[in-house]
Amino acid sequence: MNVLRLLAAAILLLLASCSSSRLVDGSRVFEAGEHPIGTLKSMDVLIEDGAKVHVDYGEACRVFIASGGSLTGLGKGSRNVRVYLEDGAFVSPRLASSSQVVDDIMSAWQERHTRFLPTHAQEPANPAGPRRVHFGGYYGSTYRYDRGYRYHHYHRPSPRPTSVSSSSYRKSN
Amino acid sequence: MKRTITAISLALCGMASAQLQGGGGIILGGGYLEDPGKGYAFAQIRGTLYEDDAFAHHVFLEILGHGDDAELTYASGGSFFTEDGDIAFVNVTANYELEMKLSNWLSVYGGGGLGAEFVSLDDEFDYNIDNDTNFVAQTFVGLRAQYQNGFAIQAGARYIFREDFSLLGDQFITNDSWAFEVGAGFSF
Repeated sequence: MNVLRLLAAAILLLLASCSSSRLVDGSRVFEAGEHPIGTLKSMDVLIEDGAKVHVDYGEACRVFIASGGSLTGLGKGSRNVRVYLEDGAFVSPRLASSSQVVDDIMSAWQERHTRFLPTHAQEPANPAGPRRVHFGGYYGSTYRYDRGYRYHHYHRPSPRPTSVSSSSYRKSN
Repeated sequence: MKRTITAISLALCGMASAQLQGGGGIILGGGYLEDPGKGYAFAQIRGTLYEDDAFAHHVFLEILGHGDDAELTYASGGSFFTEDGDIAFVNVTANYELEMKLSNWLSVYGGGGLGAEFVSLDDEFDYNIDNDTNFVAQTFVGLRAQYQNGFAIQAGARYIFREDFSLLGDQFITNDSWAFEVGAGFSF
């Protein structure tokens, strides 16, 4: 089973590394070492430490950037894209003014459906405080992907799922 | 769970007390499980109990794995949201096989085994959410071609008897199913 997982992960990593690929709808997580280029539409994205994402065009998306992650692009015409980032995350200067800093990006990602506005909602006219943005540097020119590091750095936060559905098996209850 | 542990213990004790006459072998392969329509991979560590010109009696420990996509539902503050996950199934069985030699290189085999199916649910970060363990049994039949250098290829079918599994309090129905497979390996 681990062999199947490794093979699937290798294929996904190869596809993610290719240029100008359209990213699928739904939530998406980019891990260390991934350098995807594409469009984002109607999805939530988490950019982890060591991932560098370039978005040619974005629409109706929420992007969460962990310390050490990078987001560039979001060219002309992109709309309704909200960016949330930790200290140490990198965004292109053009995006910095519209980004929002959060203390713990993993908690923000887990609670995004209840804690942050959907992309179509309007921001308050006078936010509670100044919009603090930090211009972080790159994690480094080389990335070391370490599952142990990820588990140690991002402990599994609550909440715990209450239910599960399977694509192939039906429930009896 | 007690039935599972008892079944596996009896099978392993039987294997341990048997006198291995010939050598052993390893076979790796993959196949298709009709219900739920998923591919799987398997690995066998084999030993020969007795072998003559007409028949051979083998025992082997097999690990078979397959998976499925899942959707996790979280409740937070009166609202609900979902995230992707996956379910992994790992069958560990102890098996007996009777091989009938049709010629010096071609043979037909058949047998059965029993063991446990380990089910695990992970989220999209590969964090383990829940687990379950159930009884599993199987019967199998197939054709095997074995070459003088010890290399062997085989093709066959098996019927797997599975118990329903439970994750996060949800009970899922499994159906006993046919599976069709190919494999290759070495004898030593």
